[in-house]
Amino acid sequence: MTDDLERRLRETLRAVDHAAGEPRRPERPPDARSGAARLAPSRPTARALVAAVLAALLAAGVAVVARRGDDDQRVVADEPNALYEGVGLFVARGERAELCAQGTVDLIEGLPCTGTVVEVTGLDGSDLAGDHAYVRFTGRLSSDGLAIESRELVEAPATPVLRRRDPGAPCASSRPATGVPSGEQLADGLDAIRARDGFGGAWIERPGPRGGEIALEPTGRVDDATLVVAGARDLSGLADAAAQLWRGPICALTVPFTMDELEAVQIATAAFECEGLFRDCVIASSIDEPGNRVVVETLAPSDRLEQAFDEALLAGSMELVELLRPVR
Amino acid sequence: MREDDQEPRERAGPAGGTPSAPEFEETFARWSDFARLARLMLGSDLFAEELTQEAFARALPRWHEIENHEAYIRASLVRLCLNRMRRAGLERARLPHPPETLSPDDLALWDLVSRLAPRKRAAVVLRYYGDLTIDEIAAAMRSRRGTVASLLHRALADLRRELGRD
Repeated sequence: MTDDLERRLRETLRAVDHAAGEPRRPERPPDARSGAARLAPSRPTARALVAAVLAALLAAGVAVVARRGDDDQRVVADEPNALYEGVGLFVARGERAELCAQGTVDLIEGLPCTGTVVEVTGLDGSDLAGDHAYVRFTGRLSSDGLAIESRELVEAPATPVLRRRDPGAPCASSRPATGVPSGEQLADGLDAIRARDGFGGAWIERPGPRGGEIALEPTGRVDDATLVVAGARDLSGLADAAAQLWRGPICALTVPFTMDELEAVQIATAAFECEGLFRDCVIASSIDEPGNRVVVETLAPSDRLEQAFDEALLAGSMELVELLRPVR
Repeated sequence: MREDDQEPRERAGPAGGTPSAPEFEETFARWSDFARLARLMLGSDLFAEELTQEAFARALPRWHEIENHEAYIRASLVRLCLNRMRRAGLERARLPHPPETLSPDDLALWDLVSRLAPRKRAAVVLRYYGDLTIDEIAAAMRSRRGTVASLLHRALADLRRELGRD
């Protein structure tokens, strides 16, 4: 009976919560948009690399863009009134509309907008089919915001396709499933794998609908999925550790970057996050573990930012994605 | 409660700034409530605490613009949790409880809940742990009311089907 199931759900979730105990509330509130907990490097090597990368960026002549509240340090777009095109999430704000500039993953999940909010003219709240909508548009950027010149309502963007960095790379082994570790065993085993020297990623996957595409397996149906471990060094050690943990198909891949290195790149690029309408800004920066890369999303193409990243960061470790593209 | 009161929308007013201590402390005092919700969605103490802190951090710059701080932080937290669940399929497996302290029935049902797809699981946790209304869940997940109702209906159907296999 549904009513009985609903009652059991309430009781079980409370029992789980009770068994888990009191969460560890931090002594201090967070700093605004610090992202400190999320981005904190896990090892001294990553911290040292972040410092080196930031120093190199500064030496390359790129100012670390100020965050909200430091207006006088902001780097303003150097091509005012340039015409751009793109697809964005627009939010109704009374009679007005605003462009919500945040990461692709965030966009797919929708509101609330936790990224940069860009003032918009030429598009009203009444133009949206509800309180928000995805719009393909062309518009001109200026210090006053985005002036829309053409617009078309579109569907929400699709979930980004996940692929391994080298889809053709051979896997070490494939064997039938003989059992599934418990949640605790899996967590402990993966912690041990992640702590190994040269670790470059680990995930559970199934083949996706298109060639080379993979789907992460988040539902716990792991008995016939593949555990993939990736490493820049000591691949045999990683594969052995994975084989001890996983009683199903295992794939061990060589990748160019360790997770420490990718985290350092992510932290360095996140330092360019800023509020407002500025081209030298990073909207979002995330690690694509199967792709062994950092995906950096920016408001618009910035040669200066791209050149600085190329010079200062690990070559090939990053993919730049722009929300707005210039109209030629 | 009017629907407007449940929407995590911002209000017009001065942007940014440091929130006044009593106003902020009142919401921050509920930090553990948010972390508990996140923990049941993620199945991880560590990430629940991290993302709860992140949700507060993201709200701070626009604190004075937000009408309903609780709804805004909850919606931000739900989205962060969904992102985390999708990005890292492995992390879901970090069950936040020592199994021996749960009854076999609770353990079996919790195991099934933890296998639900992220959005179904989030809806179930918000509904049956958070005791939120459908409208409040829709606001937190930025989904339509019908979508939430459908998510819950399908989640319960999944659970009933799996329970029936035992």
